[in-house]
Amino acid sequence: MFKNLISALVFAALLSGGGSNLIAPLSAKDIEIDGKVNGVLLEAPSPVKPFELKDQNNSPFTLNSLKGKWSLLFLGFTHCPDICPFTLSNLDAVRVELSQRLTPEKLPRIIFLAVDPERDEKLLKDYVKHFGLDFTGITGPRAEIDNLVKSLDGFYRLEKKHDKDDAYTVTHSAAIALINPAGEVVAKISPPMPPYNTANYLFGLISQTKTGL
Amino acid sequence: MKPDYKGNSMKVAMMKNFKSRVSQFLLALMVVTSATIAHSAEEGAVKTQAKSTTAMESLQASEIWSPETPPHIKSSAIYLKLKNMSAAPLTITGISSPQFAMVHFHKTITENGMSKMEPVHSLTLAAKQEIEFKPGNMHIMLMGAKNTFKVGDKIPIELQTIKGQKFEFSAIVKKRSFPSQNHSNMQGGK
Repeated sequence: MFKNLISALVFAALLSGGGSNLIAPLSAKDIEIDGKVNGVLLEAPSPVKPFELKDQNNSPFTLNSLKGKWSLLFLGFTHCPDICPFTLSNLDAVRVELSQRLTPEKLPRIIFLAVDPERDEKLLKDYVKHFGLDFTGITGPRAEIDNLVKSLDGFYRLEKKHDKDDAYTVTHSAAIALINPAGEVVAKISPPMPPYNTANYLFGLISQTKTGL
Repeated sequence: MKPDYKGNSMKVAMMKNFKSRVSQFLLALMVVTSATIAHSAEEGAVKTQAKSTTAMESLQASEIWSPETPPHIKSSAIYLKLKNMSAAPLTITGISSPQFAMVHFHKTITENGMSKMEPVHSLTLAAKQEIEFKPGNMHIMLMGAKNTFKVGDKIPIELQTIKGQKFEFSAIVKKRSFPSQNHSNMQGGK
């Protein structure tokens, strides 16, 4: 029920461009209006439930790995020709901007959740390396991916036309989840993300949150 | 009189559907002699223009690039500006590349927080209309790469209109960079 409410809020906010009065708008006062941030703040932080995946180096990546650090988590697939690489390079640009506002320990890491493990697993290491040094790729068994996707209130669907189809695309959530060091989703942002304004938006959220970090 | 197709047998073979020899000849001329490719010194400003002095379809492709892909990834995209230079609408129904198993016009649609891709089977440009293909929006989707491409490589593309006219151009593989916020192309959706 609570979950539904949150998703309804996120949905409404995405439709209205973040203008709903239930959702904290970005603080416009210190933002140069040059690119809208599609950011929504959840009414209350939504805890990520336990999951067990592996990172690109084959090391375990679990709920515990999310704790103690801010994260920006994006869901996609390595064979994605357009929006995933675009979003990852966009996130990198946001992170570069953010690095000028936040201390390194508060700077969120970028996590790419690859939801197409059959094709993604063996490519993930090179994929991650291609997009940036400080960037984590995670994937694993379908059920564990689904656990995490559910916690993010996300969605994906492999658009396989038949069993042997290996050129399929994947429909997936566009939003990037901002996860706090307690392992809770606090906000979502959607591409395209103007780096400067998005960095200001995230800076506002991260610097105001009392999480000990 | 039979036109001399020597050296262009592949292109000619692709036109076997056309009944009229005259139009075959004109098309062959069109493809072989009229497609001019001008490389400017500035990287990325490659312009390909196929023109004809007759009332034939004319299409201009510019700023044609393809982002460098991560290792072993066989799918990619091409971004460009495509302008119908003719005074009549032009419909593109076919797109292919000898370097890829599958090439489609595709559109990434992000709505209700969901990103999906939809194939665009035919693309009509009104007279003088220009369409911008850009990340997160319209793109030429490339699937099943037969080679690996590095920065500076060229990916050949052929478009075919509903009237059977063909246009060839190539995209330069470039390093992906995210435009700064003040860049006018920053905002998607327009």
